[in-house]
Amino acid sequence: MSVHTPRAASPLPTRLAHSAAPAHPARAHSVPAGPAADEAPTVVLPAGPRIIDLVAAPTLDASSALHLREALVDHLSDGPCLVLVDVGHVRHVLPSGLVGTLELLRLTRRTGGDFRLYGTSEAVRQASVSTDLGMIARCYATREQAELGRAERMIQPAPRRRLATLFGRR
Amino acid sequence: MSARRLFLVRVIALAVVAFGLTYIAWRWSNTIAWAAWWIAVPLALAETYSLSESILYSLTMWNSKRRPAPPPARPGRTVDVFITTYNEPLELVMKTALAAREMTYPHKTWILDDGNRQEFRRAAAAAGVGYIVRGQEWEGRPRFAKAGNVNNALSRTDGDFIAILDADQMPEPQFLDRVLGYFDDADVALVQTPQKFWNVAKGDPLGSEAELFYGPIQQGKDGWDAAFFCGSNAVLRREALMSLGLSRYTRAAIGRTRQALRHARGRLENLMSESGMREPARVPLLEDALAAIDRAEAQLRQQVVLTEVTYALREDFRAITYRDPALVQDLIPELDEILEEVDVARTDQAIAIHPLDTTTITEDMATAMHLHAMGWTTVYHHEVLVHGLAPEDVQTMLSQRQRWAAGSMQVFFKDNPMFVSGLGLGQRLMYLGTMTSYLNGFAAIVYIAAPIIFLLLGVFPLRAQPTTFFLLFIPFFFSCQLLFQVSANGSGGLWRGQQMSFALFPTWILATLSGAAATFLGKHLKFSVTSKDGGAATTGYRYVRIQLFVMGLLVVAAAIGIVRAATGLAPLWPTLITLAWVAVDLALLGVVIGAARAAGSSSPEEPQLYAPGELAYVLDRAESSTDQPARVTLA
Repeated sequence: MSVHTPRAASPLPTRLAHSAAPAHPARAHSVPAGPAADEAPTVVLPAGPRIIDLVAAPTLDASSALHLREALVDHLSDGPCLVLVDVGHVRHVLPSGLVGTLELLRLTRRTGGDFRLYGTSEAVRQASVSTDLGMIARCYATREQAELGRAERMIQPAPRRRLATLFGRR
Repeated sequence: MSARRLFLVRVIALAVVAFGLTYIAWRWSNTIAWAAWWIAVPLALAETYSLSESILYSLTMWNSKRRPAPPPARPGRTVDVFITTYNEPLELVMKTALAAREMTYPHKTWILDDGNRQEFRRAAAAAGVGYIVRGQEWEGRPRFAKAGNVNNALSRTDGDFIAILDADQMPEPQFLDRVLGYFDDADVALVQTPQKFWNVAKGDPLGSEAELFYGPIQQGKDGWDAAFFCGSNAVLRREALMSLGLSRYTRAAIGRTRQALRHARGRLENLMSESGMREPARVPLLEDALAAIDRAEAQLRQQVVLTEVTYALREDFRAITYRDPALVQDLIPELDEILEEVDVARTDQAIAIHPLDTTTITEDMATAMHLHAMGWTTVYHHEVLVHGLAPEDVQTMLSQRQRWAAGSMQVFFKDNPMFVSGLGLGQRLMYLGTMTSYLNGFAAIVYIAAPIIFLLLGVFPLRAQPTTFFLLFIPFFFSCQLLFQVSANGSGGLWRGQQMSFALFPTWILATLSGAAATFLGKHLKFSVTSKDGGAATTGYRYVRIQLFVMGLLVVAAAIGIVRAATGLAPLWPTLITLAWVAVDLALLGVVIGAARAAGSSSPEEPQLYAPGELAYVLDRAESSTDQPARVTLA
C-alpha cells in the first residue's frame, strides 16, 4: 500500500486514534514504503506531523542526548512530531550518546512521530558500523531524505553470526 | 596475600587436587556398594561434586591478587551516586544520602525512590540531594525491580561514572577518591569494594560477615579478571554499561522484530476468524493489515533498515484506520498493541535500552559477566569504605540468601558462563564456581541421609577397608581444610561459612528449583527486598524446622546405631566412622539454633558518617506537609 501524506501543518493523530479527515485534502506527497509499495491502494491521509529541527553537539554522549531530550519534551507533549537532527558537526560518538538517541526515537514514536538523523559525519558512520546500529536506523545524507524517510535496502551487510566458542575472548 | 603465602597456597592447592583425584578415582573404581546403589551412587556423586568445588576453590586461590595502592583520582571526572530504595525507612535512607553527599570527590547524589514517597522527596530537597522516581512511561510496563530503578536513573543522568549504594550502605568520605584512580585504565568497567556490616551480633550467628568472600575469594577472582559486581559499594563506568546495553539491543533487534511480526500475524489471523462470523465487514481491513505485515516481513528479508520497516508498517496501519473509521474503532487498540510490540524503538518498554541486566534478579552478577564477555575489566579494591546493615533475624537472612541463590541459579540455567561467547576459561570457571556452590544443597541431603540409612538399616554405601579409607580420605579432607585456613589469610568466619553452606540446604535446593522453573517454565522470580528495619527482630525456629527435624533424626539414628553395634547387629568400625560422620553433620547443622535465636546486636556501633543535627533537620522537613521545591527532581 502506498501512503500519501499531504504536507500540511496539522498533526497526525497520536498512535492510531482516528481523527476527522480534512475537508480539503492538501497536496499529496508520496512516501514510498519499500519494494512492494506499488501493489497497494492509495489512501489520502490528513496532514503530516510537525517538523522539529535540531542540531547535535560535536560530542554525542549522555549529556548532549539529555540536552536534546530537554529541547524535545515540550514539543512531544503537543502531539506527534517528526524530529530531524543534523549530525553533520558530530566529531565524537560515545555509547551513551547512541543509547540516548535511541531513547529519543522511542519517545517520539510513542507519541506517533519519528526521530531521524541526517548529515555527513564520519564519527556517526563509524559508530553505526561498529555497533551494528546501521541495520536498525539510518543516518540520511540530507534533510530532504530524512524528511521523506525513504525505505531502501540498507548498504551494509547483515552482521555475521559467530558460533559460540568455549574459549573465545574478544 | 604475600608472595610467600601465595606460593604456599599453590602447593596446598596442588595437594588438594592430587589427594582429591586419587580418593575419587578409588571410590568410583573399587568401593561402590552396588547392592545398595540407590544410596551408594548418590554418595559417590556428592563426593565428586565436593571435589569439583574444592578444585574450583583451589583455582580461585591460585591467582589471588594483591593490588598495589590505587592511583589518585584524577580531577574533573563526573560522578552520579545512586542510592536505591523501595520500602526502606526514611531515616535509614537519609543517613546514607547524607553520608554520600559528604564524600569529598565532587559528585551528584541521587535517591532513586521506587516507592515514590512524598516524604522522601521532601527529605531529599532538604538535604540538597537529587531525587528520581519512575515516570509515567513505566505505568503498565515491566518494572524489573532494582535493575529497572537504576536503568531509569541512567537515562536521566549523565555522569561519566556511577556509584551504586544500597539504601543502608553508608560510604566513607574518601570512597570515590580511593577507587576512581583505577579508571585511568580505559578498559576498567567496574571497581567493587567490600561489604562490611556494623550491626553484627557477637559470634555472628547469621553468618553475615563475609570476610572470606570479600577477601581471598574476590581477590582470587580478581586474579583471573573475574571480580564480581555485587550490586552495591561499587563504581561503574557509564560508557561500559551503555555499550553493554547497546550490544544486547542490536543483537536481539532483528530476531525480536521477526518474532513480533510472526506474533502479529497470528493475532490478526485470529481476529479475522472471529470477524468472519460476527463482523464480516471488518475482514477486508484485516486482510489489508495482514498484507502490511507481509510487506514488513519482506522488507526484513531484504535487510531494509528496521526503523523504516516499522515506521512503514505504522503508516500502513494508520491508512487502514482512515478507510472506515466507524468500523475500525474496535480494532485500533489491537493494532496499537501490535505496533508497540513490533517497533524496533521498543515502545512496548518504558525505556529503549536496559544497560543493567533485567533477565535475572541477580542483575549484578549477570551484568558483570557480560561486561567481561565484551572484553571489559573489573577491579576488586580490598579496602572497607562503606558500612551497611546485615540481616538481624533468621527470616530476613534466609530471604536474602534465597534471592541471591535463586538469581545465581537462574543465570546458571539461562546464561551459563561455560557457553557465553567472549569469556576466558578462567573467567568461566570463576563464575561457574559461585553458581555451582548452591548445588551443595543436594550434596548435603546425601551426606545426611547416608549415615542415617546405615545406622538404622545397616546398609553401608561403600565397600572398603577402614584403613584404606582413612589413608585416602584423611589427606584429602585435611588438605582442603588447610587450604581454607592458609588462603583465608586471617579472614574470620571460615567455620561459620562452612556451616551456612551445609545447613542452609533447604534454601539452596529451593533456590535451584526456583531458578530452573524461572528458566524452563517461565515462572516469575520475585525480587524480595531485604528488610532493613534494624530493630525489628524475632526468633525463628519455624524457619529452620527442616534442619531441626534432620538433627533429631541424626541423634536418634546415632543412638540406635550405638545399640546395634553394642549388641553385635552392626560392625564396630563402620559404626564408629559413621558416628564421627554424624558428629560432623550435627556440628555443621547446629548453626541454625543460634541463627533462629538471633535478634540483632545488643550494642551496635553505628559509624558516624553524617551530622546527627542535619539528619534531624532533614527528617523534620520530610514530615512537614508543605511541599518545597526539590533541588533536582526527575520523574
